[in-house]
Amino acid sequence: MKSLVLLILASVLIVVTAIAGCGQKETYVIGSKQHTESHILGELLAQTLETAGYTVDRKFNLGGTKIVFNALEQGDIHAYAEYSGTIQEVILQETRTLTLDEITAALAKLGIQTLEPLGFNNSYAMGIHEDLATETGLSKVSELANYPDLRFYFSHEFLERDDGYPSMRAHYGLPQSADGIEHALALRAIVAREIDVTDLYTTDAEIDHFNLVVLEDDLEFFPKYLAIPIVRSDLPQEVKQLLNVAANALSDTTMAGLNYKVHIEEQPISDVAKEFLATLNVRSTHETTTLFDKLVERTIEHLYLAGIALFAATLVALSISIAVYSIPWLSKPIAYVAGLLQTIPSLALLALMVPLFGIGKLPAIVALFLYSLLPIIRTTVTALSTVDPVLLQVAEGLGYTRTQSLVHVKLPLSMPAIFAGIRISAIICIGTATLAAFIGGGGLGDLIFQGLQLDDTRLILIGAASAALMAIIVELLFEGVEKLIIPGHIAAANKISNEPVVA
Amino acid sequence: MASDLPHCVQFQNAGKFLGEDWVFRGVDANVPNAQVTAIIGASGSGKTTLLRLINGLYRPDEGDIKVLGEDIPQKNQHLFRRKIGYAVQGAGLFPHMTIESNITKLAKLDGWTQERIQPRLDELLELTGLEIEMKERYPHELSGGQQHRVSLCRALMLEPKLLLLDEPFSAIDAITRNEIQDSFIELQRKLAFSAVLVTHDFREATKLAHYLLVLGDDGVEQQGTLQDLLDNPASSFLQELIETETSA
Repeated sequence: MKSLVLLILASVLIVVTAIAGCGQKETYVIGSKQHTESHILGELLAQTLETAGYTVDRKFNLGGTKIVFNALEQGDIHAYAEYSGTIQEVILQETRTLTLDEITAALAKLGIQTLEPLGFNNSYAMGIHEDLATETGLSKVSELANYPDLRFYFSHEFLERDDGYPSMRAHYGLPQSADGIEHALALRAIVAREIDVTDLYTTDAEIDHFNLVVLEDDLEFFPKYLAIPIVRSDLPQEVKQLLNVAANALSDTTMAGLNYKVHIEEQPISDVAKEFLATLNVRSTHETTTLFDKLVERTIEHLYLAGIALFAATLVALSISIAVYSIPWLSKPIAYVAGLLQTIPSLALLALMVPLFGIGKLPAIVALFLYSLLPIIRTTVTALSTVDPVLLQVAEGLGYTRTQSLVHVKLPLSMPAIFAGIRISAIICIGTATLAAFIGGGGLGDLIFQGLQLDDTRLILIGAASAALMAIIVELLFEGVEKLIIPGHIAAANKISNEPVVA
Repeated sequence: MASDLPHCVQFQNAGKFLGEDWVFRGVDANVPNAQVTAIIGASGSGKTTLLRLINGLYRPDEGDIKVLGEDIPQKNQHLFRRKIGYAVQGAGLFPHMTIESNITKLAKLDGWTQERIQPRLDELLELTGLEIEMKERYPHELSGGQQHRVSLCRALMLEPKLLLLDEPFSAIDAITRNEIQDSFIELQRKLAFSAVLVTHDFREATKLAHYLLVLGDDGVEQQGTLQDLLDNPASSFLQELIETETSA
C-alpha cells in the first residue's frame, strides 16, 4: 500500500517536472515598447518563433526603455528590438558615440547579446507642418532659433533623455522651452496647427500622410538609431538564429511602409508582420485575433487584476482595521501611511513596482492592492470606533466577550460603511487597472494604449467604455449584495453607502 | 446557594475614584435578596457608578464587594455577568438584530439548545405582555414602550438571580411608564429575582422598591425600607424630596 502511494507521488512529480520543464524550454517572452514600430518588430520576432513551433508570450506596450530593458535583464522577457542610439544614451549612459562593436561588448557584460541590425536607421528628427514651412521658409533645425514664438511639444522620452531636447537645445542654441505630449496626439495637434514643432522618427508613416516636413539636422546633432534585436545571451543558439530572421532586410522605406500599413491603412499589426515575413520565406501560421476575442481576453485579465487586488486588499485592510481601531496612536499613523500611498500618482506607483517585482501581472496587482487599502481602512476604522457606546456597554454588561461584541455588534453595525469602502476601492481598482498595460500587466488598458499608439479612436473608446461599464456593473453588483446581507434600516442609517461611487 | 443568602450584594467600605476625585468612599450596604432595591440620590452622587461596580464594569479602588455571595472574579468576567441581568435607559436594543435575536443571542453564544431557548423566549414575551409575532420585527418597528419590554426580556433571558437596571424607564412617556412599572412588579413577584434599580424618580423608587439606598455627597447617607426612611429621614436630600412629593 505504502509503495503504491510512493509510486503515485513519484509519477505525479515526474509529470509535473516534465510539464514545467517543457514550459521553460518551449515558451519565450517577446517584449516591445509603446510605439507601433517596436510593436511590429516584436510581432515579427514572435511570429518567427511561433512558426518554428515555440510558444510565445507577448509583453507588448511596455512603458519606456528602462522598463523594457530591465525586464530583459531580469529575464521577464527574452528578446525585443532596441535602437543603437537608445542603448548608448539611455541604457549605457554614454555621451560619446559608440560603434556597434562597442555596444555589443558593453551589453555582453550585462548578459545581453545583440543580433544582426535590421537595416534601417530610425533617428529622431524635427517635424513641422508643410504650411508652416511654406509660410516661414524653415528647412533646417538651426533656423528654428529665428522663430522664438514657435510652440514646441515633444514626446516625454525625448524631453527627458540626455540626447533629447535639453542637449539639442544647447547644441543649436534654441531659445524655446518645450512641453511633453503623447506622440500620436502630437501628430494630430500639429495637423490642427495647435502646436508647431514635435519630434518624429525618420520611419514615421505619418510624415507623408500628415503633410509634415522634416527639418534638416544641419549641425549633425542626432546620433544613429539602428534597430537591433537584443536577446538574453543564455538563449539557445537555435532561437537566436531564428530571431535573426530579418537581419538587414528592413530599409528605412520598408519600415516606413510597414508603419504606414498599420497607422494609415489600419491593418492589424499581426497581419502586417505576417505579410512581411512571407517576403522572407517565413510562412507564419499566426491567426489574427478578432477585436471581440481581444476584448473578451482583456476584460477577463482586467477582472482578474482588479479582483485579486481587491480581494487581498479587503482581507488585509479589514484585519488591520480590526487590530488597530481601538488604539488611536496606531490607527492614525496607519491611516496616514495608507493615505500617502494614495497620493502617489498611479502611473508612478506602477513604475515603482517594476524594480521590485519585474513586469507583468504581479507588480500590477501589488500596486492596485496598495491603492485599495486606504478607503477600506479609513471607513472601517471610523465605523468601528464610532459605534453607539451605549450598545457596547449593554453588550459588555450582559456578558458578551470582546470578540462576541466585535462579531455580533460592532461589525454588523459597521457593515454599511465597510461596504462603502470596499465599493470605492473596487471602482479605484477597475479604473487604475487600465494602467497595468504600461508594465505588461494586460487588461483593458492594452486596448487604450494600442488605440493611442495607432491613433485609433475606436479602440480607445472600446477600452475606456468597457472599463467604465465594468465599474458600473460592479457597483450594481455590490448594491445587490448589500441589499441581501444588510437590513434596509441599517443601510439607510448610513449615508455614505447610499451615494453611488460612480458619478 | 445564592438564593439562600440574606443579601445578594454586599458593599464593604467600597470607594470609587474617577477622573480627579472620589465619587464616593466608605460605602457599606447590604442589598436584600429577592427584593427590589432602588439607589436614589442627587445627580452626580454616583448612582450609576455604584451599579456598575456590581457587575464589574467598574472595579472599586478601595473596599470590597460580594455579589451573590462571591467575590467578583478577575478573569472571564463575561461568565460572571451572564448571571446578572442588565438593562439601561432607552432600552439599548441592537438595531441590526430582530427582537428574537436581541433576546436570545447571548443564550445561543452561551450554548443553550434551541429546545431550551424557545420556551424561555415565549414565556418572557408573554410575561412582559409582548405578542409572539413581534419576534421577527426589528427594534425600530416597535413603540418605545415595547422596546423597553424587550429590553427587560433580554435582561432576564439567562434566568439571572440578579437584575441591574440603570434608569430603565426614564425615557418613556408617563402613561407607558406606568404600565411598564406595573408589568415589572408583576414580573418580579412571579420570578422572585433580586433587582437593583438606579432612578432619579422618587415616585418610581417608592412604587417599585422594597429597599432604598440614598447616596449623598460622599457615600450612603441612609438605607432601609421605604417606611424606615419616611419615618425617619436622615438626609437633607431625602427631606426635600419627601416635602416636594407630599406637597405636590
